Amino acid sequence: MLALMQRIVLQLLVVSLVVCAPLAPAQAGIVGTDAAMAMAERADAVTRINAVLMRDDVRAQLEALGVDPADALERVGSLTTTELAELESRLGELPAGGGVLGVLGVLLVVLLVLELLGVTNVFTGL
Amino acid sequence: MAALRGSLLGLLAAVPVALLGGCALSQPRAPLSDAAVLLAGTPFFAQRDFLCGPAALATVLGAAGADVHPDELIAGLYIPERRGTLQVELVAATRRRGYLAVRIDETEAAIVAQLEAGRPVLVLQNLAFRLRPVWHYAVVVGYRPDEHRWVLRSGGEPELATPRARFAATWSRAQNWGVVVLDPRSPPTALPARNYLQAAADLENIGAHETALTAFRTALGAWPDEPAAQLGVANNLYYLERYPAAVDAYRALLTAHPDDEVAVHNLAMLLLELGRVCEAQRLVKEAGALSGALIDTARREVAAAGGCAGVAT
Repeated sequence: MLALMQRIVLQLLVVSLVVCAPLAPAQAGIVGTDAAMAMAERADAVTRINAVLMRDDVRAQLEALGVDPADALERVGSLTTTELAELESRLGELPAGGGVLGVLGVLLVVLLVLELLGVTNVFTGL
Repeated sequence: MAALRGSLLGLLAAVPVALLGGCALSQPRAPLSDAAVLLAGTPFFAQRDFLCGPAALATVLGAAGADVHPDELIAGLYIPERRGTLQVELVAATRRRGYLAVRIDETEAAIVAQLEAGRPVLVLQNLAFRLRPVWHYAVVVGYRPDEHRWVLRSGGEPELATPRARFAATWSRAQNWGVVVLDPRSPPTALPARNYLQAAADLENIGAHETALTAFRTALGAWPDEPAAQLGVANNLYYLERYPAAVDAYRALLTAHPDDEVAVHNLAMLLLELGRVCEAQRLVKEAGALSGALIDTARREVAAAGGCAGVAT
């Protein structure tokens, strides 16, 4: 059993070495345009999401649920690019205006956002 | 508790999805454009067997100025066992020939915009069902607002007039995938900067640096303030070992965007490679207010390069 595990680990190691080898630059190397665009896009996504989380009604809802908005902002920075995209699509569902339906809609979206951010203790009160 | 939470979230998630589902079904009735458009000069290659991929690609490559016949593309494109061509292969074949394959936005309006800019659009369609797909590549060459029809080069048909609703259904079953092909010297009118720059960056990735450089220069002409276009010019000059021009290009980018981390990093690395340690030191010192992983790397590398041997300037 152990031997089998060792073999699997070794094989994985070999595969990852083969895959990684051409990526290691001979010199310090420059950052390619593709990678730079991905970085910039990620930074833009974080900025857009933070702007939504700073909205008064969203902040109010976060606080009502016992979540410090600053904590939520911090967690956004540690999401993967895929998670950021999902979060943005969720935030896109936020209702624009006030009214009972609006407040309810904000609550729904905020709950989903918190789940995505891993702030799960919101539900301990249920 | 966890189960309760899961089901509650499931319920909550279903509400907005259900609302969205209702909207997606409605079909807009207004025409996409007032004037009819037909790119009559687009080449036509009647498709043989299952070879819609090579025929469609030869069509759009021809429209972009390439002289290519579908038969020349078959070897690189057609997968006999799958009886077809993958989207990535179409895009890769375009790059290999020195052209850009630029994704268009996933809307009918984007197709019309491309037609009006004089470019036919290569689209993927699913002519059957989601679960039993029949994939097909065609080229949109025209739009007739009065009839609500698209005009396609499709299979053996040089001008297949397809009702808009029918096309929308077959196109959406293929995730609204569409590309246009551009000569890297042609102005990227009516295209989103991001999509064009991505296609240029893909050329850089496969090592087609001359073509990538031309494309990024074209992009810079169209979007002078776009940092990715400036970076693309500088990076590809570097890859082509045209170092003095690359240094100038990074400096131009930093003049326009002094807080561009990637530009600081790449220029610092290039200066070190050229043995211009003093300049590299000055560069990271001037970037004092910036922070981030790339700036840290640049500082570390510059420090490791040791003293500045030349005359301090």
